Amino acid sequence: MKTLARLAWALTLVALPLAAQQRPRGTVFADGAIVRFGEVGGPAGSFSGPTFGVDAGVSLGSLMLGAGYLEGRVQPSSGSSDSVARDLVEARAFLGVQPWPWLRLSVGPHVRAFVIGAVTERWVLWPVRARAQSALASTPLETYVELWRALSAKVNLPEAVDHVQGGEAGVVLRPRGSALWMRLGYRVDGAQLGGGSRSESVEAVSFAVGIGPR
Amino acid sequence: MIRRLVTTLVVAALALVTRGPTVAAQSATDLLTTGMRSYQNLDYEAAAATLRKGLLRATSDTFSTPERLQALTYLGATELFRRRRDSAVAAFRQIAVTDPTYRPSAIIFPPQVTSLFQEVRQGTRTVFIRVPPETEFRARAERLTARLVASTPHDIAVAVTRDDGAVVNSLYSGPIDDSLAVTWDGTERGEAVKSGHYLLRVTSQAAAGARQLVRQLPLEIERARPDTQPWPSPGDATSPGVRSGPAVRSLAGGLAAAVAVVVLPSIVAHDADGIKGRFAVAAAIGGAGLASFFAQRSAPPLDVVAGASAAARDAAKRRLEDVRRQNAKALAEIRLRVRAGPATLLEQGAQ
Repeated sequence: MKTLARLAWALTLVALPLAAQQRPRGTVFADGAIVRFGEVGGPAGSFSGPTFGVDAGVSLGSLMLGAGYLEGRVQPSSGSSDSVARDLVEARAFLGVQPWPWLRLSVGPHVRAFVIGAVTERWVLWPVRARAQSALASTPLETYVELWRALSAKVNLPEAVDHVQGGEAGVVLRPRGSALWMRLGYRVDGAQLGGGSRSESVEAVSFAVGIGPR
Repeated sequence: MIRRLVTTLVVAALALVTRGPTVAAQSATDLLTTGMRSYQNLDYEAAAATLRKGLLRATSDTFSTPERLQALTYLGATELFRRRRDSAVAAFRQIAVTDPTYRPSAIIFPPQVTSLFQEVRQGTRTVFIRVPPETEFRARAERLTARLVASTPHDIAVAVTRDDGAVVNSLYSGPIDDSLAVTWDGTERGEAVKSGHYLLRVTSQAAAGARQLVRQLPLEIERARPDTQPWPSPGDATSPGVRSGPAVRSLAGGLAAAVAVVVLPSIVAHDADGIKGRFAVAAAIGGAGLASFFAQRSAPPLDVVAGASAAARDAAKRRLEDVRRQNAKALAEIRLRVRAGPATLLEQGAQ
């Protein structure tokens, strides 16, 4: 936790002088996704279903603050040993800096919960993320790739968490002269537990519509 | 029993607190009325005693300024008829330093009263300052104006000083007749003053043997932040041709993101099956990269777009230069926000 606090403090120190004398700009987007949850070495099998979420953020110069929330229900896939659907709820917040126009670094808490009846499997992660983005010349498109790894991960399961990491890539369409943008992306993350005896992964193909700087 | 006693005490205290000013106001006003009646009945001893009592009891909340000036006029007239000229002069002098426009009524008071008042007024050399409660102006380019009204023509010296009396800027030194406007450009030795507490001091040159009166007005000065314009966005500063990067870089960016979508499951979650839908995402990203690549390759030769690009670039440069110039001007222009407080009067020197 100390490392995380130092990291957030360092990001703030880097960003504050850059943010000085800038006007804050807000962004908000809605996100719909098809999510697939899979488990190897455990009893659950795989599940899939839609999720919907909203994200909002504010940027001041190169400093960014944001938060997001999504929820949905994933159903057991054919051939899955578990036949009980589960609700998926995620919330996250982050503090980020953009040292260069093509690179964004961020850190912040990410909570994920699978609700199975009265039982909730809850993950609390502190991922540090690096996102590279690039405009595609002569088009109103941008591509991006993001990788992250959790500096701290806790889950209310008997096994210890070995590591959690993830990534995302996609394309953004921002029509010229418009504040509106659309994003098509794919994200995946994987958690390894119990010394490699079990693993869980969550993938999603998502489509988002937003307004404001991305 | 104790509860009843406490309740009674609280009620009594509240009654005293709420009734206090009203009682004081009634007393002061009543005393003024009684004093005026005694004066009219030629009972000058009683009038003087009652008016003094009323003036002592009166506060700014219970006596308005006209009421106080009226009480002082009756007191001055009373003292004159009691053959106490010094006391009469002192009462009239208080009027003269309070309101430059006040004159006793020639219908109510006899000529010996009005002529003594006139004499005192002319001998009391003081100045009244009128400044808007709040002013904002550009230091050096614009000026703060103070209107001075004199009780009688005399010589004055006007300066802006610090609290300790150190002169920041001397504004005027010379005669004043009825009134005078003095201005200040907000500077100290040519530079805009810093935020802080200052005084506008008007020193009246005293008549021989009289005390020198200094009228001073507190000025709370704050430097306002300059209102600069935001820089044009990078998109405005470059032409479309310049904004488009090299074709190969676009292709590489698109393909890298497409490949990332395909291989991410095996990199970050070794055992993820991978949603089949991700291939559609990869195809969309790869297709976008290819489209960008070919759009660049098939773009008109540079010399064809050079004219348009150069014109756009020149326009962008001009916009940037305009903003830079306007911001430099705004930063150079320091705006001062001045809040003026109530004026006070000081007496200097001995008679």
